[in-house]
Amino acid sequence: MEVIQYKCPNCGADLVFRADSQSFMCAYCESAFSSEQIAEIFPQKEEHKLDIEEPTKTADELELEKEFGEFNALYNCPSCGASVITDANTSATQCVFCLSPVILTGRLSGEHKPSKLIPFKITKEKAAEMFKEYCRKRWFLPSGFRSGAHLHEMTAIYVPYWISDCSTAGTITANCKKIRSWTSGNYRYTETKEYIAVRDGGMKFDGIPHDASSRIDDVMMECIEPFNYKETTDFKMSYLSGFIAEKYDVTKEQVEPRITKRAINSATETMRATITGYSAVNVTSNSIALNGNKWSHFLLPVWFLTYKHNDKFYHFAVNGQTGKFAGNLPVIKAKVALAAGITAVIANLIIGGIIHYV
Amino acid sequence: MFRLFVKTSAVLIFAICMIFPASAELIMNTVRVDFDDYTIESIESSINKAEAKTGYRIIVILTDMRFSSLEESGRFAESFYVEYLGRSTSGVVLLLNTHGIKGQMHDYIYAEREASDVITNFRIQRIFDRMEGYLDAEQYEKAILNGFIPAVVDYTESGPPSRLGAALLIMFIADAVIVLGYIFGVKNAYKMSPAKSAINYLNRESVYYRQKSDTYIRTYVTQVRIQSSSSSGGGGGGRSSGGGRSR
Repeated sequence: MEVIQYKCPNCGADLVFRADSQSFMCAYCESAFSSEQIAEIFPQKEEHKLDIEEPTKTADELELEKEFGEFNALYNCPSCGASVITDANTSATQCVFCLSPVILTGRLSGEHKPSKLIPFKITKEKAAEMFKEYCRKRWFLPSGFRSGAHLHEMTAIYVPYWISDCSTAGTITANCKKIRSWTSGNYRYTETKEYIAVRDGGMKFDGIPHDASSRIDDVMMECIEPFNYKETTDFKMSYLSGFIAEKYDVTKEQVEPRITKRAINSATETMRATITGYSAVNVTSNSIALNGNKWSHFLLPVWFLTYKHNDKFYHFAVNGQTGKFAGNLPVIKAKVALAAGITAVIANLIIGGIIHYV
Repeated sequence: MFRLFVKTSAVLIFAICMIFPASAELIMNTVRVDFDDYTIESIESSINKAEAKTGYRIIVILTDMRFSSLEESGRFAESFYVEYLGRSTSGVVLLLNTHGIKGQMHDYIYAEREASDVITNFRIQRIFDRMEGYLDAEQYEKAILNGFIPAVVDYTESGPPSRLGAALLIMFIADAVIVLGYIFGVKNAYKMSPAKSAINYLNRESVYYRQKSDTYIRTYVTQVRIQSSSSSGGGGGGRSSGGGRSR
């Protein structure tokens, strides 16, 4: 397995990308380098052209390696020389023995090479702060969870995404009502005017994302959207230094139905929003369809966190660019029942009082 | 002037009814609807049975009169009832407009005294719901026999809407809303929901329309009498309910 590491040209320690300064920092001598400087210093690494002499292997060894490589990867850490096993989809990680950042170049080459990447902008500390802020006003969380004691376990991962530029076209038809009420003498009148509204047209969508990793919850990834694509940069291996990265194992054909559904829903919503001035609008027919799709492959930054409560694992994600949070929070059901009960009793007393005196 | 016209018309029909008493409860002032003897007998018999069950007077009027609005047909029904039975009698009158001009037929139900406790404004609209299909098809006998009379009997047997029952129902609904509010509120605030749209990614400049049309189809009006207690002729307190529907 071909691996690369980015070492400080001044002292030889590991270089990692820092979200707060958007530069590469040496953890030992605190030297900082921009992405352009890194590209100049390590041109071969950026082009993935490391000349590593592979020992000659027998046919049996190659067969065994192929079988093993379908599910795992074995690499030798360039820093400490340890043999480390990762799973088949990990593209960047760190050595479990010396904690040096390691990038497995072969994993993100060829068709798996992303065209763009958004670097991490949210630091671990900032993500933890945002997470605590999100939890502060939620009363039904377990007290242990709100304390934030588990936040040190956050992991930064570059998640593979399919990005779709697509367009839609079609027609929606809606039954609409204008309702007017008035009182005259002892009578209340309601006049209902019925109309049929038709909207026929189309629109384009730029960059609808869908995560391309089967291990990551699709709903959670949709919840941390949107990403700001204006901050994308051309993919460079160096950005992965210090982070975990995944290669895609879900094809664009597999995500297309979900992208199509979202685009059609939004097109319907946009056309429906132009039917105004009515008291009620009911869409009765919809023939909007996807009309062209162009795909790109991006790596996008996400912080992940897992929390265990009552023997159940809760997974959370924080958008590494915007800080938007997503995840199913643990709920203390007894607290919810108590609050609902108290509210219901108060409401019943008020209603009873009103009915008694009217 | 208008009130005088309505009152005069009602008195006139009342006088005709007295001179030619085809039936005390079924009054037909129409040339477009011609029931045979068997149908008239069926309706009369059904009304008599309903009167015996409910203890209310029940009157059905079919008329070709042109009313300009539901309010006018309501005033007519009320005037007729007062002239015919007086305000001290408990009963209900159904006025069916039969001239056949679409959009200008104004049907009405008016209830007086105890009957108005049972035939409330809300229930009047439900009675019109039961008759709607027959009235649209101009099957007036079926509207009376299958819609109006059974509904009056059913509502009388179930009694006036109970205040306690209404209070409990309101409390139950309020509790259900609160519990559902908490459930959905917690679900919304604590659980993830997938993104249904991609509106964040819409290129707004690319939106185009080949057709944008809003076509008018029709208009209809419903009328509900505002339920009230009032002093009226004779010095006694009166109460009534009423409501109608245009076709």
